[in-house]
Amino acid sequence: MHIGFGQPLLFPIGHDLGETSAPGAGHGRSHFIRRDGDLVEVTRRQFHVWTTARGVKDALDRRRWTRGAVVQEARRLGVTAPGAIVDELISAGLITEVAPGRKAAYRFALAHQLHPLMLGLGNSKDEPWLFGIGFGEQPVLRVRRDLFGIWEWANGEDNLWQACRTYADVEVAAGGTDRDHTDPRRVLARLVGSLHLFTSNSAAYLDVARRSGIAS
Amino acid sequence: MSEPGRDDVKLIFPVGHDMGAVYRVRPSPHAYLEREYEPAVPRSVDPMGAPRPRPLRVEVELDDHRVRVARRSVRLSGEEVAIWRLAHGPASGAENRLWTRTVLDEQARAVGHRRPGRLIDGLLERGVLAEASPARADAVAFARRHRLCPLMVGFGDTAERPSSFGLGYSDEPVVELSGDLYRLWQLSPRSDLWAACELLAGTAATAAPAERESSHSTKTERVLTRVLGALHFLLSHHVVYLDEAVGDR
Repeated sequence: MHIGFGQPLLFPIGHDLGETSAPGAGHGRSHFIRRDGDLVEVTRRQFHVWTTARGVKDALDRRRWTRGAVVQEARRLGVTAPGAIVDELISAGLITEVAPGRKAAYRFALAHQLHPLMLGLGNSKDEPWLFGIGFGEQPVLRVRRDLFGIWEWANGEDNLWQACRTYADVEVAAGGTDRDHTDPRRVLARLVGSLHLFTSNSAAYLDVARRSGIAS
Repeated sequence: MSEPGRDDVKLIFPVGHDMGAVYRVRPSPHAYLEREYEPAVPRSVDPMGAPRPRPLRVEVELDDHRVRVARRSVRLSGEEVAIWRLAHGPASGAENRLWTRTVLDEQARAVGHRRPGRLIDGLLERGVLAEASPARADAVAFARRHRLCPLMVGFGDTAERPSSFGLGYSDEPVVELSGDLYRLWQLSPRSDLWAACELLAGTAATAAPAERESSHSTKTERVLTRVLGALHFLLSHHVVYLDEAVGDR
């Protein structure tokens, strides 16, 4: 059973660009995250908490990556007052919270986008139901067909919700009747529960949607 | 970034995101594949604690290799994907050779392809290979038709090596880039390669006062020439892939 059931999940938004000398800032060094096309400078403590929000690979199968999990892990890494930093990052749009339930997942999916950061390595004869993601011959992770499909196609769509709808439409057109694959709401629910697989392995990053489906 | 030596040289590039080889299951619809493999014995009953897939009731055979280009999936044969991968450039990075169609043809023959020209024609026609002359007008058309998509995450530079920027995955850098190439990688998710070069040209203008006098477009073209000269290094190390620009990004 997962710990943290019923609490919102936390997701990092943006692409990790690493630590460099800040332009025009003397000899200071900063971490940079690219979010929605902008390079956002964050402090080292903020960066640690943001990185923690990607998830910890080995811990994901036993706990959901909630605020409690992020705060606890950041504290374990030596970050003081991580809860306040989570709030700062949420205000800056670098972390987003997704409450349980379809409505929150839908709003999250309308406003965000998924971008792959690795190559697809296909499936194998022995385990054709799993698809590899990584580089070279050795996959970094292997995922279900629906996750692979969305990982592959999402960045050509306006937002994650549209990606789930397209996936479900293709499935219906191919004659599928399994609602986990043909109902975009179910596709999305399964995706939200698995997104930390991508972020914790740096197999993809989340960003603000190119065209948000939320009316302004 | 290195500058391609001759004006009339035409470089050849792979377009698309590698998705790997696909094993297709027949006759069962792929949609139910994972259901077919659900453990026949529940975990709690299995003394080894591992799921035991049911014996295959279906035939699994190698279909094709897939490359995603914009919103289409391009299927390549084993021979075609070998040529497409060679088009990424020299994997060692040591070879400082301009990667043209002639070089690609030679390399393909060297690894046993008897008539690579026919395959290269087919791949160009299907849009998974594209050619561009770095210093000519067709480079601008190429840059407007394509975009760079970054792969991996950044590890930045270090105090010991301030001009060398690491990119990688799984918590460690695997490639080091110069500052110019790192900036290109940072700026690459733009609408198209031309837009990324415009941004780079804007950055370059503050550092190179002599260039400020030339027109914006000329500056961008110069940057593009250098970018195209460096592109095979980025492609062969898989820190970017080229995709078709679809507009409105």
